[in-house]
Amino acid sequence: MMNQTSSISSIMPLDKAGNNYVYSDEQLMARFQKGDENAYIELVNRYRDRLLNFIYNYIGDFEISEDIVQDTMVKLYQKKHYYREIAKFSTWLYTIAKNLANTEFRKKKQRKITLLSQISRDDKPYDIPADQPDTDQEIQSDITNKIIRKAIDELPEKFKTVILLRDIQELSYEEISSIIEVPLGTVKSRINRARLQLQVELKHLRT
Amino acid sequence: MNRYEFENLISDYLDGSIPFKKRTEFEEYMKDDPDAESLVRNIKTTISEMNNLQKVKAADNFNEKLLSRVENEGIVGGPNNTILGFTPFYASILSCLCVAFFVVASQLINVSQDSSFEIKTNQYTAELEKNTPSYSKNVDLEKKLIVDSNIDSLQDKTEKEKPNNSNKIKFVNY
Repeated sequence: MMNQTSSISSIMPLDKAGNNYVYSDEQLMARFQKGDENAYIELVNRYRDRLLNFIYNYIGDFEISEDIVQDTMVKLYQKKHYYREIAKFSTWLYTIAKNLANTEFRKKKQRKITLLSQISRDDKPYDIPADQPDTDQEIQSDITNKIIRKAIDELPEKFKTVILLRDIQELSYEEISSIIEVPLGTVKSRINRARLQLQVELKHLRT
Repeated sequence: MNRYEFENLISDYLDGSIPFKKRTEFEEYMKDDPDAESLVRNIKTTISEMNNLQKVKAADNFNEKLLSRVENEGIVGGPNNTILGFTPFYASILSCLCVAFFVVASQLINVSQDSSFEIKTNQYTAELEKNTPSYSKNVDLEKKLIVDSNIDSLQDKTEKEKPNNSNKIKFVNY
């Protein structure tokens, strides 16, 4: 199986132009359901970073987030036959990831070890595995990032999920509606309210 | 337009999905209220900042870890052995329930058939008795009497035909 990772590009050429792949997610999933494990690896490659960003912004812990993405991919492997093409593949995968993240989020709440309660306001709330900023502009951008992440983190759970899916993952309202299983109107209303609430949290950033 | 309506339409305005008439009202409201205008501007800025949030990347060995996990934990690639979309466990429960249903249903059908047969027989007998005319009952009675008398006469006849041996055989003592 390891060798398949390296040979995937030769087996399954994906002439990428932006996000236009030769094979759509659904086609890859169909191939995977027929036993083509290269298709699985390609799906993992397409979604691991996107899911990681979503979960990382939701949970706030990189290692836990990576574990959740691993679990999501394992579930994808195990439950491949449950997928039907009536739903978009991305919606299906995000639903799995969101459910796993929710479980982790609740566990975290129960243990009362959220990062924000453990560290003081001035401490670094997120451990971002990235290079240290060099210029003033990068430093400013880094601070803004942290403030925004913190503001998002302080949103109620239902607002946080929709804002992450819409404004960071850039999913459509319809996709979000399918993932969180609430009507489209509710999704729109929640996004609007979440954006307004974020402005309250970010008031000091704008003044 | 009031403040409440204005706030409700902010996302639609930013997405460009607001109807033309409402859009005009919305923009007029912003002109009249600088706070409203700055709110919309700030939301727009926040959205673009969220889009540009520093992205995290999975570790280089992510795929290796995943694939070794799939191999080592012996994860089976999906239930190929589903029966009509049910896992074997649920399929067996479902089939047991179906069998139980048919057994109970067949027993209930048998019971209802027996009782309905009895009821029908009783009804038929009652109707027969009810519908039988009185003269036919008399005829029956007459027939019965005739049969009885025939039997009697036959008995008499046989008795008559019996040889009276007592008269014929005589033991003589010499």
